[in-house]
Amino acid sequence: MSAVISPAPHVSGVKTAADALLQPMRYTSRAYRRMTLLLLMVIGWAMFCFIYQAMVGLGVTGLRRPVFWGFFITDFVFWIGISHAGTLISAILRLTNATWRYPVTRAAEAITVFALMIGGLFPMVHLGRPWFFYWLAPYPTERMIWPNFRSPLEWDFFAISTYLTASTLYLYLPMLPDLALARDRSRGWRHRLYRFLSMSWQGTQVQWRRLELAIQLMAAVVIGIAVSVHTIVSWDFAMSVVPSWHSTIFGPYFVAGAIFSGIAALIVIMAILRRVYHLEAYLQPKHFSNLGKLLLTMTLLWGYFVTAEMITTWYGNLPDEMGTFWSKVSGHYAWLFWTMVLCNFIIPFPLLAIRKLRTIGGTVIASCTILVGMWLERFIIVVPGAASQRLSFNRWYGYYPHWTEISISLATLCAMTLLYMLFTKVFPIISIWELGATKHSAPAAVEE
Amino acid sequence: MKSATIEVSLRLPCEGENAADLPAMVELLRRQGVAERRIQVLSREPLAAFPASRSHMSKLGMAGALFGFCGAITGLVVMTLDYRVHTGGMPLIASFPLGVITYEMTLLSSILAMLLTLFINARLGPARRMAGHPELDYGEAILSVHCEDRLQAQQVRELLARLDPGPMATKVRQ
Repeated sequence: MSAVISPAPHVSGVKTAADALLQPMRYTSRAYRRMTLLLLMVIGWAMFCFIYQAMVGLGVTGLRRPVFWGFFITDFVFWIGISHAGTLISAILRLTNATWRYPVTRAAEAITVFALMIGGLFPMVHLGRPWFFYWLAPYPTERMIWPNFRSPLEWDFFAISTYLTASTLYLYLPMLPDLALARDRSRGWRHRLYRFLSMSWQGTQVQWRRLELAIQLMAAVVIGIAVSVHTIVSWDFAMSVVPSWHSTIFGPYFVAGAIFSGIAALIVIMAILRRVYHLEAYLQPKHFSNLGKLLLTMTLLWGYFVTAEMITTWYGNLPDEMGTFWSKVSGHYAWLFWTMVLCNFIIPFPLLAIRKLRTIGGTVIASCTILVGMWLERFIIVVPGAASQRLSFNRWYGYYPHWTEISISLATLCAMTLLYMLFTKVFPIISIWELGATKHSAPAAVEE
Repeated sequence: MKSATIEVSLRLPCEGENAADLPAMVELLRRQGVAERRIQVLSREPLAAFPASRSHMSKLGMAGALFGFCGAITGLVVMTLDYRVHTGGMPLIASFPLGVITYEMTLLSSILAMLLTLFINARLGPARRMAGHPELDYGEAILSVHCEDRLQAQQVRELLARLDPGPMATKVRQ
């Protein structure tokens, strides 16, 4: 059955801004289909890798004693960090009433949901027997085994599931009026889908007031959840007595890093959306400049946290800590550490600090390097700490990922891209009502 | 089975120089004896002319948080006592992990309570019958009155015609 989103009945032939913003949902190009197929192939390959790993065991990965946390946990922390792009940034901008946020929030909130979905899979991917993944959840069993609530990994379950629920609702609620618009301008299965999703939204003034209040209140609560989630993820490390992990600064350090990588991811995705869907009239240079300023703040904050962490370790001069410290600064992991510093500070700082360089191109380059740098940072936190020699009979182990881990990690990028692409085909990627349909004119044609 | 109502609706500009004074129109209808619940102003964006009314959403959110807090503590304590694990001499019920999980459950419960309040207050839900106005666009509003019978519909039409001579739509809805 055909499913068409038609222009407003009374304005046939005239493209309004609302119609223009619904345009990416209307047409699917050949390039889009090809890209979807390519991404599905990569994800399919990763699925094969995962099944192979599940059947043969974790021995097919590069994980060896004492490094039991490698790429998978790095990916887990990285994606949970990226998830802070949306809900947290959107909530902060909403509460501070930053009006420039309107074209940005939906794109950011979608990142949160997808990044959490991907990140949340990694504790399962990392399991030796993934078919017992439900053991992570607290439920009474006849074996009288109950998940140990003392374990920070158990806290992850509660934190991530709460954050995913809250973020999905926080993405969904501001979308209600736009779903109603799509419902009114569509036919076929799309009409039925939007009729269901729009929850009979009519646009009465009572509905508007209640919705605005709910979004505002939810924004306040969501900030509390978002901060707690990455703090709890940091506690996965900090609650252990592993050198370079056992640190009181890890909570705020992880939260700052999460916001840092989240903003970078948002800028990259905004630039892609702008280019692919020709959203130049909506995602303007000022949006990139403003996010660039936020990114600059986070660059400085990140630099401050890393310096504080490194100086404290160096000054303390504890033998166990120093082993890991030197492995990062001048040892086996030095090239990764200094690449991280280059990517997270040395390259982005001038690009974001100098006004002339803080263009769309400049912020995108800075964001891309930051994303690479932040992944490396997660790796630098996870692996050298685990690899350190703490017992006399234990040797330092250089962790090298195998093809299964590399494939699965790369596939997460593809999964993120695919989920985002599908999202843009079903939901308006820019909040139409918050933009006030850009005051009832069509700034630019939107096409793929 | 619900009885049929007749909806008389008027599409008006709500922005710019020709913007209709919607609050005044609603007030006039009220003074003419049309029940408030039968009058609706629909728009594609929130209208500043209609101020926010009091809502219990924040209080119910707090109540939800309290429910989540108490529920989480009770659940965790009961479960920990039911399924005892070896703690190496440490207290069976650990306060810090209890606090972490309780915090998450408190906020989750608060959000769900607010969501429920929104759906009830704003009359949202997939099963609800909705009066669709696909013709509504940005910068416009629809003043809609649900009348009990044809006589009242005629009276409302005459009243609205005095306020705005524009075209009016009449629909019979179940």
